[in-house]
Amino acid sequence: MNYDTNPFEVLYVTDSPDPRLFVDLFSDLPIQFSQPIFQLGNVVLKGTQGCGKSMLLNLLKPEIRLAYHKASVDFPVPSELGRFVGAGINLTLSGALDIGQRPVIGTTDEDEALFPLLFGDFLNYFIVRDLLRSTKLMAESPDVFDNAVNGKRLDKCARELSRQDCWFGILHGCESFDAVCKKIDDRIAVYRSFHQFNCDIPEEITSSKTNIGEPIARTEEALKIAKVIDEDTPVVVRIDQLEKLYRSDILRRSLGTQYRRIVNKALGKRDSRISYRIGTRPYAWDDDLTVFATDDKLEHLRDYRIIDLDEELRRRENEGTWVFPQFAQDTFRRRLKRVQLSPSRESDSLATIFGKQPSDKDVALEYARNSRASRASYVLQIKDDWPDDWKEFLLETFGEDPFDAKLAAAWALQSGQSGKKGVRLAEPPPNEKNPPWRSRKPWRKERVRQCLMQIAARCAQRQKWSGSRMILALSAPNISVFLSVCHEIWDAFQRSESRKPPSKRIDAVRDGIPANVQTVGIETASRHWYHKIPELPSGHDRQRFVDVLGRKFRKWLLDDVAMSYPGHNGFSLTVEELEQCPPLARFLQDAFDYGDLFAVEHTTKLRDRRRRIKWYLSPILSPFFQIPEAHTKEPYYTSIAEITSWLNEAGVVIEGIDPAAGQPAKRRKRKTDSSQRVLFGDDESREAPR
Amino acid sequence: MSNKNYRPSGPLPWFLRHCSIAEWSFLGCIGTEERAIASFAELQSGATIGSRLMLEIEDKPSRFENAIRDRLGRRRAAYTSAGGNATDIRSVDLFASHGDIVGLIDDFISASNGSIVLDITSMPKRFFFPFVKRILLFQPATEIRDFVVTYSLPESYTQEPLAENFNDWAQLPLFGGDYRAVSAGMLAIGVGFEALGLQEQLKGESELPVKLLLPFPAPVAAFQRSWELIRRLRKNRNHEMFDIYRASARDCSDTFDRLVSLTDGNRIRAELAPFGPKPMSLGMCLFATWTDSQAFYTQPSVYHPDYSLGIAKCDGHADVHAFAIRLSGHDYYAV
Repeated sequence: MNYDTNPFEVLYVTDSPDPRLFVDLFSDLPIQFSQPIFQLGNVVLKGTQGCGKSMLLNLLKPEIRLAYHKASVDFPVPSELGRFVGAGINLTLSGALDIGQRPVIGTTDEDEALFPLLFGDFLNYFIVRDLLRSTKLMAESPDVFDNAVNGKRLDKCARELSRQDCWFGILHGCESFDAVCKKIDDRIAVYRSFHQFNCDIPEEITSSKTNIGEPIARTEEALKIAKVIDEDTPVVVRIDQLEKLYRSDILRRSLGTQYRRIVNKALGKRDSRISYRIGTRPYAWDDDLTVFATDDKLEHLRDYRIIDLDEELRRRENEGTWVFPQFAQDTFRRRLKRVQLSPSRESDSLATIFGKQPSDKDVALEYARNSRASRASYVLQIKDDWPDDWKEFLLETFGEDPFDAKLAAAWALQSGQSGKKGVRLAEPPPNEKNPPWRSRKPWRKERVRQCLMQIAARCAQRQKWSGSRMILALSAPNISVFLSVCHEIWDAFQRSESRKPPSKRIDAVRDGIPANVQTVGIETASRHWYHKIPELPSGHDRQRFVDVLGRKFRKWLLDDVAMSYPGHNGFSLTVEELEQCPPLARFLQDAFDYGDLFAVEHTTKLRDRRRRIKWYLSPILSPFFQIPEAHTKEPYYTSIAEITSWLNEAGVVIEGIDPAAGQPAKRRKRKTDSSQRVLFGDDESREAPR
Repeated sequence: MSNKNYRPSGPLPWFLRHCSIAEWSFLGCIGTEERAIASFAELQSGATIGSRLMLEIEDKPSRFENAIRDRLGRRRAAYTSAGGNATDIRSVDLFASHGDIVGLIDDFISASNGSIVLDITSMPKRFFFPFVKRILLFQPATEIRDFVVTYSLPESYTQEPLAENFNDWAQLPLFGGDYRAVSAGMLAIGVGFEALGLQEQLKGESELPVKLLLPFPAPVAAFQRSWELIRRLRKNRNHEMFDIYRASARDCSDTFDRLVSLTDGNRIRAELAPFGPKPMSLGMCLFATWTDSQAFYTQPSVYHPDYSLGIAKCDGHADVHAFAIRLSGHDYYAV
């Protein structure tokens, strides 16, 4: 095996000028649940940062299809869906966001009314130009695009297009395809020049503003009338990163909202001639569904369909329906194949190389390996006033099975159905083969991670992270996270092998990568994702907030010796309360959209039955904060006031939130022994890296 | 330095001694840093300042608000004790519209005597880039005979993040580029201390070869931080995408010439990303102005109140560097 090449060295395939790389490494599995993208009708493609939505939208670009052809690889879209013409706009690079930065008329009110119309006009011209460019490109390579475009009829199409009244005479007299393109280019160039203060905006533009979507639809018509494309060839228009319009400081929010409504208007027309593809972060889409200059709202299924990539890739109750492992497996296999590595069981190369997670008992034994018997009582948090029979039982068990002993100690501290404290400790330890902490499977399962965390912390050990299932749990639903975890593990493996003589080296593909090496790689990846938070817009505030949360979660879980609250690595808030504080909602939603937090609606344990959302740190941050990645049981129920106090603690200032409103909640008194001396300084939370 | 063209630049006192311009119009920025006033003070002691405008840029609300207020108060006091008037100071939002930014510079040009000193020491790129472009392209060009940019060096920089909460990758005002130009063939990045969203950009749309302009010579600590950034930018990416070129951290001319060379005199179009030291960014700004290239940035919404500390000294004076961009109607930078 080659010990110099890391199959995951280049994480970002869009970097590469070599289209072959894209073709080799792009896993087509998400296409299975994204087929509406290639069909008629408007589709909103939602997904958090790095989930792969831009990769999917890229498939609509003719250049990518050409790349597949050059690489002699079949285009991954089913052939019956592969016949379409795609066009699109990059809102930033096109200059669309400059509109509104320079007064046109001079009076604020009139300008504010005019800017959205100019924005719509600019979008029309830019998208039509891209549509014509795509058509020409496809016409030049008929074999690649299955003769979808007849290039000989482009001039006829241009004549048809120039006659359309939607242009208000601007294209009048254009007799050729090139003439139409030039006219459109002229208009875009004037817009760009105006916004660089090189010229004034001519009256010709302000008096011929087009209606959003109409010129694009008429272009589709002209293409079909002129028989450039067939009647049944869909025209799809991409608008990616829609949130840039209204979730950025670069554009005034009031103006960005109007621009968003212009795009909504295009979708709200229900125009069968054009199918829009909107790429957006999950929460950002729901910010405003109002159609420009009306009170109408876009309606899901009537105006658009949603493909939520995170939802599709998220693990549900029924693990059998979880597609992320398959997606990860395919992506993993492609990377290995590219460097000529093929595990014997290629269908499950992940499991072959990363193996299974060691048993809980073995992990706990590893943590407690160097712990003397005298330390057992600290690890188990045994108090002086506990009955001797329990003390003896737990200490004896600890020697053989620290995991079992720790669970037993937690079980003993709980009050159970009786509701009375100390009732279990008052009885002798159960003398049965399968005591409750072993036989009650759900109870045990919910506490496994918290138990291991407490043992590791009190044995002054860092937690172990390994195995294919653990890697999937830490990565899902983000394929970029998965790849970076693989990269760091492989890197750690190469480092560890490079120090050995060649005869002693192990083969990752044949023998798998040792668990301790995986831990090193996973921790590095976790640190990488933590440090990456500020690299995304407004990330410094989110990183400090994540810091506060990570430290709190760890402290709560460690202090909870009875393991009564194993779900306190997350918090829950009512939807109602969150809706009353839009600035906080936006902050939390941004944290979700950028992949720092994970959020999902859940069933409340309270009688009020109010809808609630629970929030967790992204699983990949768990190793960094040394907290469990699993989301079990009830999260911590909190309030806006308490979250505001966390924001204050993190030094996050959000316009519209009064820092004085932050009040730390009075947390339940925990069953901890304040007289218990701390063995390792302040407490174990010090181990959490900062 | 170009072998074709001598471009006067050096310490401000030296520069003033060697030029005969008696009166200057001054445009600067009152920032939180001590060095923000250094250029004004040096100019005041060596020449006459006629019209002047001091911008006070308002960041977005942040945890630094009290510290920022405190530092700005001190700088205002320093400005008036150096001979400035409180009425010269004008508050402006960091995210002011392009129209407002252009309005500021156009008004200043109208009130100026045609000999302008622009101090970019504490001025965000979002302002000084369009200011430089507007001054250079002002018509009739004869109205602005002299144009000098100054930059003051600090004693040190904070070890904490210099700025926080940056925005998406976007063109700087007035640097949207020429729509009709051929597509760019490279992305030239001025390397600074921090990535500020660059990493995301490099994995996103950009498929261009990257030319990293590494500030050198530079103090050891700064050099280490720049290399650390390069390491992070290249991590997990195809290293063949990146080429590294050295450019002086203190001389905008070096960066300008490097860009002229890399682009073969703008025959290969470049997109620019000025994340490096201010003199390097000035070189990029001049190149982008004359070639109508796109310049991108990820504008932070908050700057650290102690972004830099103290003022570096040179021969007993504040170390203020002056770059002559135009003197007596002669432009020193052209492509």
